[in-house]
Amino acid sequence: MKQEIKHGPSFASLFLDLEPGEKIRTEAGAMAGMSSNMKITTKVYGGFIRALIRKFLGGESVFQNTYTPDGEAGQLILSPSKPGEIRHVTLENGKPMILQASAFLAGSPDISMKTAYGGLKSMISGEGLFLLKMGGQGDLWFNAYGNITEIDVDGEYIVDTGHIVAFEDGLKFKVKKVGGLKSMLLSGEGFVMKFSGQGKLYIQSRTISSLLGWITPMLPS
Amino acid sequence: MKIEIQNRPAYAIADVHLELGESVISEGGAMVSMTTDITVTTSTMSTGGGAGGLLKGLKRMLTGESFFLNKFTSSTGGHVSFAPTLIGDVEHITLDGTTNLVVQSSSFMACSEGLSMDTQFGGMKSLFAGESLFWIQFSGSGELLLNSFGGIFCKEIDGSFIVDTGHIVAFEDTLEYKIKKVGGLKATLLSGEGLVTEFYGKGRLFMQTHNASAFGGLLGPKLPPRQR
Repeated sequence: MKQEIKHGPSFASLFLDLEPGEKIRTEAGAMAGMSSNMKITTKVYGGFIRALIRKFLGGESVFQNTYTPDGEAGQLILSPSKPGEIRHVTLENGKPMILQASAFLAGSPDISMKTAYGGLKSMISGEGLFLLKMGGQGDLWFNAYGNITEIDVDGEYIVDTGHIVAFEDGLKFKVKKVGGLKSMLLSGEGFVMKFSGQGKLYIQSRTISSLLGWITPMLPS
Repeated sequence: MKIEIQNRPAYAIADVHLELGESVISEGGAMVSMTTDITVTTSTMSTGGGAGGLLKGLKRMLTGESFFLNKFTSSTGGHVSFAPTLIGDVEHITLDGTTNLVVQSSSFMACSEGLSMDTQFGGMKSLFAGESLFWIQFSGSGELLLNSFGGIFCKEIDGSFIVDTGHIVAFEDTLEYKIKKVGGLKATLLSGEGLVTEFYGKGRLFMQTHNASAFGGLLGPKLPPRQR
């Protein structure tokens, strides 16, 4: 397999050249283009109920697709639904990665996906902080709205919940208020995630919820 | 006519430099700025002459493009700049009269006066593909400016290739296409891909990295309902 992320960071798309027999699992609807010999199978991953929960809380689709070229090599072009950057990581056994639910783009067919709750507080925070735990061994591509910044946390670090894209499972986190009651109500920050430990954290430079918050008052009533 | 495109790919804007007496035609609302020698006329014009301006305007409306087009004419030599509605790229394509270009209707931004523009029906199946039913076919020789949601890239097709219809910007009419199911019944209904377009033959296909309806579909359900 040959991979290339092109048109980034604003409009990153993933171009994969697959050999016969190689398989890639993708988020539903992510295919922009493909060779005519590419075969698609559609399946529910991680159990139907959990997939439904993912769909309603995380905005991730219930179904995922697996693509494989038939007979000869083939190309697959994947594009996220929102404009922004794509990152690739190689997952290793015992070193899972946590993704914000709508960040999953594609991965090796054998990586596992489990839903993980960001805690009750994150639900209340309205950021849709619903997390996926990606485990196993293989490739993982995730995407964001805006640019992705990689932060090496060693100690403690605080991030607005809406800006979380992914983090290594070794990091612990707590969802908390940004300050006192006054800051909570007036700072425009709401809930934040406080990370502790050591590991990589990926954050996005923009959030969909801010875009929605800006556009909603402008809609005609 | 000289064309420069700046701020690519995210916030592309095209500067069209016109000679004395030269004109450029654009989609309504695309003009950003211009020199004061430019006069603007708005009509249902069909570029490249031909009768039935009104009919062409009506057909264009069906494509989701504007009924009226604007014509910018320079009296002394000047320039006009154009920008698309959505964030994304602008591509400049020169047609030499040998190959026609079929453009997905919302991708048209501007063209030189010599090109002729005609509306094509995409076939009933394209309706079910959830995309625009109509294409605009450009023929003749001249300059064409297309816009995209996201970046634009060119795919040289020799054989066949499948695309999600929402990622098509334009294609040369040497390519044939058909709308087909992405896979079996289950994949077609549940994959989020549904119907796709398969191109075959030899020619250039211009694709956009992002799909405006997919982004709209992401935002839409989170917006308050539209009220009458």
